Amino acid sequence: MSLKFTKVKALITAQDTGRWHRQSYGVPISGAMDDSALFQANALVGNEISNAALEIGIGEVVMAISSGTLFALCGDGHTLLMDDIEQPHGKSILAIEDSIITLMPNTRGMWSYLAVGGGVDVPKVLGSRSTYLQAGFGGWKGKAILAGTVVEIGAKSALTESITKSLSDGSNAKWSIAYDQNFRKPGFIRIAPSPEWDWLTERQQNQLVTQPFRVSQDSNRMGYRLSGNPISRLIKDEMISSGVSKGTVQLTNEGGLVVLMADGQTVGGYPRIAQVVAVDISVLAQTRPGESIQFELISSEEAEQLFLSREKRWRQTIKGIELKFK
Amino acid sequence: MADSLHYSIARLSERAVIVQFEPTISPENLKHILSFKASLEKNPFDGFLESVPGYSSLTIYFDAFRVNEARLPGRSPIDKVATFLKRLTVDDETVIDSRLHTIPVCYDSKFGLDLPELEEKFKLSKEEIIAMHSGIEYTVYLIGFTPGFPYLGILPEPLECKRKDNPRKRVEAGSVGIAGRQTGIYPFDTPGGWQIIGRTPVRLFSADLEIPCLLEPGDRVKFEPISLKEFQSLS
Repeated sequence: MSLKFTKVKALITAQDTGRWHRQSYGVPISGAMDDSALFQANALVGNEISNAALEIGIGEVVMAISSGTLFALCGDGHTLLMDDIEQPHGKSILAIEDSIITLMPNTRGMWSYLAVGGGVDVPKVLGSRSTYLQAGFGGWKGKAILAGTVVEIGAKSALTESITKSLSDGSNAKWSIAYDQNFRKPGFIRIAPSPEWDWLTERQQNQLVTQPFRVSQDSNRMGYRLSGNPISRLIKDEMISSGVSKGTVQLTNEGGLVVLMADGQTVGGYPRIAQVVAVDISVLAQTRPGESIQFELISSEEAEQLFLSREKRWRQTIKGIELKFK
Repeated sequence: MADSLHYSIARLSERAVIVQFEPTISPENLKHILSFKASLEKNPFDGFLESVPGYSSLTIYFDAFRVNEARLPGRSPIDKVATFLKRLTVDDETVIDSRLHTIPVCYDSKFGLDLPELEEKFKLSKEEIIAMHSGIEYTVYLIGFTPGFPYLGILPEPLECKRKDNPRKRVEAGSVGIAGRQTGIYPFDTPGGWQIIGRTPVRLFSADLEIPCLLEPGDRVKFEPISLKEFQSLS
């Protein structure tokens, strides 16, 4: 079974939960920009959490899928149509016959995730199916998917077969998984202090959490640039290259902010003034250029608790699905 | 022992901490970092994922859920990891497997794009710059910026220079550059701000190999000047 792309006006790459154990070779973790949406999509189709799905940026996409394909679209950024009939977001869908899937960009998010039961069947490179475009490896031959590409689908697991069977009478799925909001206040992205947080004065720290920042057009999988009033810093030392990760907020020489994202560098030379909490990186990822965000400071302990409770909830969700479709 | 080394532990994220040594670039620091890394990898804590060298630090990544479940002293994942690291016995006499790589570099004007400007700035001839750059053995401090990009030190003092005011939108793969007291090689076509003085035909990174990087921290590098003709025959 495969997906045959006929129209591609968006950036599409295969992404999974990331490429670990190679950062000391300068290889970023990559993986999905919105990890919550990837989890949701994989869980809905009975996949392993680490299976690869297709991450789809803003733009119209049309593909042909074969009958028997179980799929789900999560994240935000597109309206989903199957043979011109709108389909629900965040639900398992079975193609009863050979069908045409159309994704029309909406006005909200940045990234949609299309998971297929069996996963996107591309070889693992350096332990992962994630695509790292800058160096041209991983995912679908190290490249973005274009019109004419045929993407193979992997073998269905027993769980995927069960979910498929439950929909084979043509009915719609009567269950879904909610996109995890992680107890956040709408409009706020939570941050915790980073190693160079105290290179800022109290006034500058306050500036960081009271003024809005706009996501600039110059934002991509490597990092999101935020524009706002420049933030100066107290300690003017040069930084020597040190560890950074997805969510690290760097202060540039001009007083601007760059938040490193999935394909961000593994080491950096700019002061790390804050760290976007892990459960909110997906929210920043889904913020469109031109839109504003506001930071809210929480403690490191609180950030850890949010992360652990999400991990726990995700495990419970999987258990729930396994029980339901035993 | 761990407490004879001076370091502090700082939080980077929910699943990473930074072991920070003296904030300098020195062979001693490199030895500390690599010994720490080797000792940790030999006796990792439950949930350890990987450790990434910086110039004066080592970033340690872990599976926070697994650490939380593990029987380790501490209140939270970060606390457990920090406690473990503080108690880690670091064998500072660890023998670091250091290989010497001789890397051919063509400094011809075709590739040494910033040499004319540097001749002016350093008040040295191109030949003198080449002799100085290729005259010593460098140490690989870390790999970062892109896959396979080596940060090599320490560049001879007369060659110390700033990054370009206007970084190039595209530096060709194989380009050899200098900045500060460092020298490095760009494995891929990327934007870059270092002063470019030559090019190597050697491939630094291959994603299809289990160990994809030619160079590893602790290795040594000597640049060997080659002619344009030799470069072309090696490419």
